Amino acid sequence: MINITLDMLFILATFLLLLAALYTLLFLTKKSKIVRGVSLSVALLANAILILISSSIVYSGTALEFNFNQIFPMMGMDFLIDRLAAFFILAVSIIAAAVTVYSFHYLDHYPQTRRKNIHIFLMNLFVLSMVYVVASRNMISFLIFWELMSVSSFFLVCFEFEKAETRKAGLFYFIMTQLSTVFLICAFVILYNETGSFELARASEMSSGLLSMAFISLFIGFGIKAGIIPFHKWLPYAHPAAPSNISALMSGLMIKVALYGLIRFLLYIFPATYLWWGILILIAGTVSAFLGVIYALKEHDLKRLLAYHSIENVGIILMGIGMCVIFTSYGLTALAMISLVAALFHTLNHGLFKSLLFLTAGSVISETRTRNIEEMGGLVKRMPKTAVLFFIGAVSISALPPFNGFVSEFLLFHSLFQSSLIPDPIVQLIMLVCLTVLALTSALAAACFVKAFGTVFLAAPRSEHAAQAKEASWSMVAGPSLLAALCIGLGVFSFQIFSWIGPRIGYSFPLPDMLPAVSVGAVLLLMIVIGFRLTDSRKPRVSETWGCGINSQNSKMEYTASGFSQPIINIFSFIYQPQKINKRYFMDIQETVFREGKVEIRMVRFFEDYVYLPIARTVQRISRWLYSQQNEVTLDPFIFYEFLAILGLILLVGVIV
Amino acid sequence: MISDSLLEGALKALLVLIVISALLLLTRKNVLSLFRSYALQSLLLAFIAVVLYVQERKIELLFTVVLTVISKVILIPFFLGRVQQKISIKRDAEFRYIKPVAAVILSTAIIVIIYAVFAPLLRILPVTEIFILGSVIGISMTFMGLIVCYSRKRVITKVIGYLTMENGVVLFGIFLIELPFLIEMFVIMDILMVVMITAIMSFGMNASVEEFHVHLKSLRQWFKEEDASK
Repeated sequence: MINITLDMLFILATFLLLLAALYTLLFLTKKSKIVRGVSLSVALLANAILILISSSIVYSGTALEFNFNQIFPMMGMDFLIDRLAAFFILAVSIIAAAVTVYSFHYLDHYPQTRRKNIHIFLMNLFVLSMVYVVASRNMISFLIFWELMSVSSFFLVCFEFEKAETRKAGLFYFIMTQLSTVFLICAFVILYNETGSFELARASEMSSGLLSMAFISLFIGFGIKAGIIPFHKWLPYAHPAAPSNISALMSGLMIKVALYGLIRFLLYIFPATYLWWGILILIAGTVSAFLGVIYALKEHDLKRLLAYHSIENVGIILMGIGMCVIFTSYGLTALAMISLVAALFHTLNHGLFKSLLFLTAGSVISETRTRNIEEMGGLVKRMPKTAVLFFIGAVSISALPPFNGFVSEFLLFHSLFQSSLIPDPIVQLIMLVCLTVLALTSALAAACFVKAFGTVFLAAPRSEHAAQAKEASWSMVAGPSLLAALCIGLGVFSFQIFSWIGPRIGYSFPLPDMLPAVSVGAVLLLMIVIGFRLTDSRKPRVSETWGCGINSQNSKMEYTASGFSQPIINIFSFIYQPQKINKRYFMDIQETVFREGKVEIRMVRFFEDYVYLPIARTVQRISRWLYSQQNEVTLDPFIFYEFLAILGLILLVGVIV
Repeated sequence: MISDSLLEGALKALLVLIVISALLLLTRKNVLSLFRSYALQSLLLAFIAVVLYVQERKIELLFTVVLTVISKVILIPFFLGRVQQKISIKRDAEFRYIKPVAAVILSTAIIVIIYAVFAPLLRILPVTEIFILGSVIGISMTFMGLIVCYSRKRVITKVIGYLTMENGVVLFGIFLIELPFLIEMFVIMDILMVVMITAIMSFGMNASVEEFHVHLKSLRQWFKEEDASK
């Protein structure tokens, strides 16, 4: 009998994933759905194996080590899967499995065969690269797979490249993601200079200035990828442009891989962490969480709304990481552990419910053919299963008990409440402010999802397409169902899970046991439903809501999403800074004959108008100037520049020596 | 024997003359007088080498003298003169970026700057002050050649600029680092080739770099279209 070890199994699983990817390339022009079906089935199998392996590592805590140095010598292909990595691989493989199931039918409404096959190829490659980024033990292999992840996701975002909007989004994403890699490389070079090795292992002592520099550039690098405000701008562009299964993978997994990098470096690589890092992370997280939900509230594009919620949830996870660093620097290890577990658990949870929401949103969008929620409505009767799944996701993300979002946010609140244990009053104050902002954020998130669910699924359809929508096909229900089941399961059984895991890592977690309450509630609900069914003998009666005496009611009379969010927008108008533009143009100078007018209310896009665009304009101005300098195709300017450069160099030497 | 102080005085005088010849190259507008200035400069260079030979008795310096006289004093001016006859350009009065007077002032400034920067560096070497002065003037001459290159419009004067730069390098070499003779020979072969090629090319065109780039400008059309579409 062959003794199959875990690492062989792991390599086998990832090899299967690669095979599944390459298979579609072999039959690139085959129209048959079977090609994609086979590829996706193999990928599903691979993900199932990965789930088994990673959960066994999370359970036992014994790390897995292997390398590909025989195949790729001198490339630093060393891998190590410890508990942290295994946890992230578990998240990746669960969500990837659900997305794979979903993708069986999702692409059907696109006509281009070759493009769909390439899509499947890239999707498998994307998942594979994420698994290996997390498993990397070496900065070189980390960067290689990181870039593979970036590039494959860039092509995936550009699926519908014939649309100008998609091309813009793809380019924006590509530039941001390359910027992120630049910062990562900077940090890696600093670390390499200090430690002399590229291995991702605990670094030896180094000067605090350099360490802080490495941290800052890592924070920016991972922050761009994770979508921390103010580096978030690619998210609301890329997510609406990408196909929904890719949005689910990117929002559910890729930004988590960036967070994994941050956690890995903070806890396992850096020889020390400082208090101000924690405060920086905490404040960045709080700002992202708050502004993320604020921007989500005014959004009427369903996927962009979800993208802003990703920013919010990344902020919440970052708060947990920041708290962990703060508590560690005060030596409160138990609290640090609770914050970290809150962050990690919320990472998994957010991956689950955000992918669930993106997938169901994808079903809705492919039926209604619009992303504007003001043109949806009434879908609960037409797509009941999708509606229920979206509802579960919405309740989870709003952090209502007994769903999983509640549990992780509860842990985070718990650790924030412990700020009284910290001796420094200023840090205490900061944590209290963050606590209140987090509370506000949760409430606003709930309001936002009331708006989203209400406008998308309730009331009467607001457009022709919405009226003709049909339930999504089985795989597009089955994939999200897996995620929804996990959302409920991780919430309801959280007490049991944590009291089982707690002793293994040596901590106990203060969680309420939700199982009794939920089971009592469920039984009561069941009894009420059965009771009504048994006693209710009348036939259902169909009639219209009273419409103040107006004869025929149409969708124009419904409560709109804009109407719903208007009060909140009014309250926070100091953040939105709505501008009223009222311009009149006249035919003559005396301004008597009116020609045309322009009235517009728009929100200030703060980060775009005051951060991104000024930088972009400066770069553009410089490059235009350089272009005009080079545009003269003669030799003389270049000799002149050379002359100036050499003279400058000599002057520099004179100054230095 | 000739006294050392006399030799040093002669060297100083030659260096001043060579700077003056470089300034002539910057300012003269008549093409023929440019060639003559260049020949004069090369001759001065040969004289410097002779004086140095008298002082140091190194046989390589004599080879340098012979090569310089043959190639730079006789052959290259001859070739350039032929070219000038063929394309019949008498004057090059077009300047860009910098006018002759400003160029003279700039060159003086450059000599001062380079002296200030390099002299402290070169003092590490076991050489006398006159050698440092010579090598500083050598570097400055390279810069002056560069100025000629970009401030003149005609190809034929640009070539003079390159040749001046080469003279600067040779000056630096004979004063300070003693280039291996073989390399020096190859360098001279190279510039002979440059002059030959220039001669051949000058026949084919109207002797201004702008015209040579006319067909390159058709490439610019492509960029312009893209600009217009934006």
